[in-house]
Amino acid sequence: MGDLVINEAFLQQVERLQTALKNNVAGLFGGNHKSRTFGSSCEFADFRNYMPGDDITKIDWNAYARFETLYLKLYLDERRLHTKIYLDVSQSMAFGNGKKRVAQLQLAATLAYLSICELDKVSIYAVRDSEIIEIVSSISGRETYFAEITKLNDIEYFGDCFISESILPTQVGYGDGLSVIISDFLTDNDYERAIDYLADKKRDLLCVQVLAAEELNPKIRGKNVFYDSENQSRSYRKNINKDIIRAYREAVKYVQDRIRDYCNARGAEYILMRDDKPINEVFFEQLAQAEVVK
Amino acid sequence: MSFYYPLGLLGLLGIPVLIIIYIIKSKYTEQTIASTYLWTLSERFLKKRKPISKLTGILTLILQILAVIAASLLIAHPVFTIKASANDILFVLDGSASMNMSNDGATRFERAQSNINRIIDNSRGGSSYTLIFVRDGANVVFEGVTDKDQAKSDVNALSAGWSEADCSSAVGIAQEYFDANPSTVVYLVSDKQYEARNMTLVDVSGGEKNFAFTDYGYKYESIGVCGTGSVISYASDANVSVELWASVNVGDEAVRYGGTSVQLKKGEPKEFEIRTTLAGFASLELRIASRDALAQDNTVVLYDEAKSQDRKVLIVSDLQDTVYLKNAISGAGKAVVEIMSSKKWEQDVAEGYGLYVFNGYSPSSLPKNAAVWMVDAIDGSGAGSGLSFRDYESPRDTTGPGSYYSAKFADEKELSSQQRSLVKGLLRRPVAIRKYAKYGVPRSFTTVMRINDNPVVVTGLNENNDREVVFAFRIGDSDFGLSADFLILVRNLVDYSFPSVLERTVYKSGETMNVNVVPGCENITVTAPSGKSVTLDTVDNAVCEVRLDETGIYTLKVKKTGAEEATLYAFAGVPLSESNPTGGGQLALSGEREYSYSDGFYDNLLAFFIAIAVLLLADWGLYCYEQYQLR
Repeated sequence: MGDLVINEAFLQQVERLQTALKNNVAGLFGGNHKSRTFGSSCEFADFRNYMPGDDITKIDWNAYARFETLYLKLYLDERRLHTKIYLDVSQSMAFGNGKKRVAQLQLAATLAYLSICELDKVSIYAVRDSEIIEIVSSISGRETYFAEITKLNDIEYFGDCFISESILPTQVGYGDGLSVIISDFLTDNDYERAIDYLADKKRDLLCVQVLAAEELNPKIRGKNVFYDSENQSRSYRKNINKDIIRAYREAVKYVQDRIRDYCNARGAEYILMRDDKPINEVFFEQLAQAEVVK
Repeated sequence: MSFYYPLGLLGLLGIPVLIIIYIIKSKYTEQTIASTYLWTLSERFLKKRKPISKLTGILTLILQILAVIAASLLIAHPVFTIKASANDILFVLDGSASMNMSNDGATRFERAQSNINRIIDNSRGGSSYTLIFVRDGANVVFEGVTDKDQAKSDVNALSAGWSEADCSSAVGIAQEYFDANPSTVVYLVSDKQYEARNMTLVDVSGGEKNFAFTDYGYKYESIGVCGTGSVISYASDANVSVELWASVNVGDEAVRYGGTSVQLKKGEPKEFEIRTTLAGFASLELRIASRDALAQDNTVVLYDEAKSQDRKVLIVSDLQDTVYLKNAISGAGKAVVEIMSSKKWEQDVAEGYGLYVFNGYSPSSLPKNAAVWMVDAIDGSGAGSGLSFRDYESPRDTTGPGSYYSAKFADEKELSSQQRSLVKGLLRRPVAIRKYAKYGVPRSFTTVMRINDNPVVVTGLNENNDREVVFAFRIGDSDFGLSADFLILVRNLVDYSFPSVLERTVYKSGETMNVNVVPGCENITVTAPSGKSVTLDTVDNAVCEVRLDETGIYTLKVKKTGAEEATLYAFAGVPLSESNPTGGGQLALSGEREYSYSDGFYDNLLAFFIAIAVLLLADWGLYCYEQYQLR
């Protein structure tokens, strides 16, 4: 799996998890997610009085023999969902020692595996500039997963990333699963319309902000000119001292709070992922605490 | 201001170098980062900085420039001239024995040296220093020295002596300097309470606890030797322990024979006696066992010189009364006595004796390099005795008072101080003599006993220039052999016959020890307590003088012709006046003191060292603050 080396034992642990969806699922039949509506699964749900027009094959004749009243036997409905994972593949995600990129891909691959284990379909998209590139298209089943997931290694990171401009034109199903945006979100407000869009579509949404340790707590001091890796015309020239570092930390906190608040206001989940944090810790601690998985 | 090494100012060229480095270092480092978004956003959270904080950027440069300036000045060694601030400083340093008293691990003399060093250190550069040191005499150790380190080194090389010191003679020398320059600042550094005029007294006394012997001696009692003396405590009431140690034979290690505890009141001497069963001794040591500030005055060593001498006596006699002489010479005279018949003497003349006693026998010639006693032994020839026989005098009566002559001892008044030792201690009972010889006696001889005007016991030098004692009567013809005076006189005459190399064995440091060059003496070597030896000139001098500068035991090795080397000891103690130096009297420099100073200078580099250290520390602190505070 190249950069995506994931511990097999970890994947076995992931198999025991489930995604915790908040919205009523509205996917295709045959999945593993229980719907709030009654359906045709094998799992008994309730009885109700027969009404004309009901399928007579659903009448419980044993109950009629006892009560001389026609009751209809109801079963739970189970749906198959479609997990869509959007990866920010701009230059900023790959810059430095590449740990951000690796963390991003490992999280995406693990979430995809979790969905595959739940009999869902999984699509993974790369977002670059204003385009969306489908890397893995609606795969299901473990064999397909392992065959397709290695494509993540082939993703090239360059250019900018406009999340909203990229996601808005795409067609997403209504309430048919989980959407995950994995990005560093180092932008003013480019992601907000995309969150609104996905929330309107009644899809469960998870925003994962991946930041490098150096970005969270920069060690650099002195006189520096910083050039933006995505756009060299953007630069920052300062004598980095304690005051600037203090202001920088406040800026980091501000960005995190803004995304978190925006997500929470729309029923979406947000987590911050450090690039130096092991994927199992992110999964079993952060995602579990955020009740994204259970 | 001037500089010792102006070339050191070339170090200031480091300033432009620093500025260039600063400018080069000030260039912004360009680097590409993932995103400038957060950095740009941080501008919104940047608080307005205080104007002074803008200086912090160049504060490091300022500190480094100041450090370079300070270092350059340090190398150039600036000298600041200060008008009318230097003067001539003269020290009179007391080096007497009391300056050796110690307290808290430092002696008074060391405290004096520290004080002088401090005065030199605190004096303005350009001052000159002169030191007059009073020890065995007053000497100018250095004069007009302007180098502080040299002056301090010379002061620190000095050490206090063990004798008294007369500071007045030093003040006499100081007067000459004061007359030449009345602005001279004179310090009298001593532990004695001088009333000083035109001088500053630096008192280094510390009220230290000290005990000392004010008197000492011994006496023989029926049970044995008894040590006597008196001790004193100068600083406070005290209970001191006094011990008596002795060695029986010369060279033996001293053994403790007794001790006593003496309760003393401050400043009041108190007598003590320590009785022992010791029959005799070679050396007797009285010790104050209690510890005090000056240990050297806590010990006195007394010697019995007879033990040191090899007193070998040969009596040539055929008479029965020889037993009186033998017992008296061996007992009172502490000598080893042998008896030989006149016949054997004539056959084989014996040698190697210090004293030859011819009793009733007149030898043909007298032995040389030895004392000779002629007891009724001078006939017509005289045998080189220097005396001439005239006749025997016998009483007319054979019984009753008229049958003997009454001999009397010479009156001390008619004797010189040296001759008085011959009649020392005599009870002066008249001696009854039945028969005596009349001799013609040279004037140089000393009459010890006489009958009427006829000398019957005389002493003097014979024709061999050896000591001689002549008895003009036979002991058996008198009652002298049974009297106490016989023993006392024999003791005195034996002491006379074996002349002492030393007049006494106990001295005070600073005194001169007279060493007698006894007959037959080839060589005398004196070794001081410190181990320093000196060989005396025994050829040209009858008496050699040795100044005792140290305290302790002096060892004398005396080599006589034909005899083994004898070892003698003398003890030099601390002068009693030095055990408690109090009032020193009045010392004054005559004339009016003036206050005209010469230009001094200040060239201490300590301030520069401190400045550099502070600047570098501040620079380092600033660096650490910038680099590590937020991490």
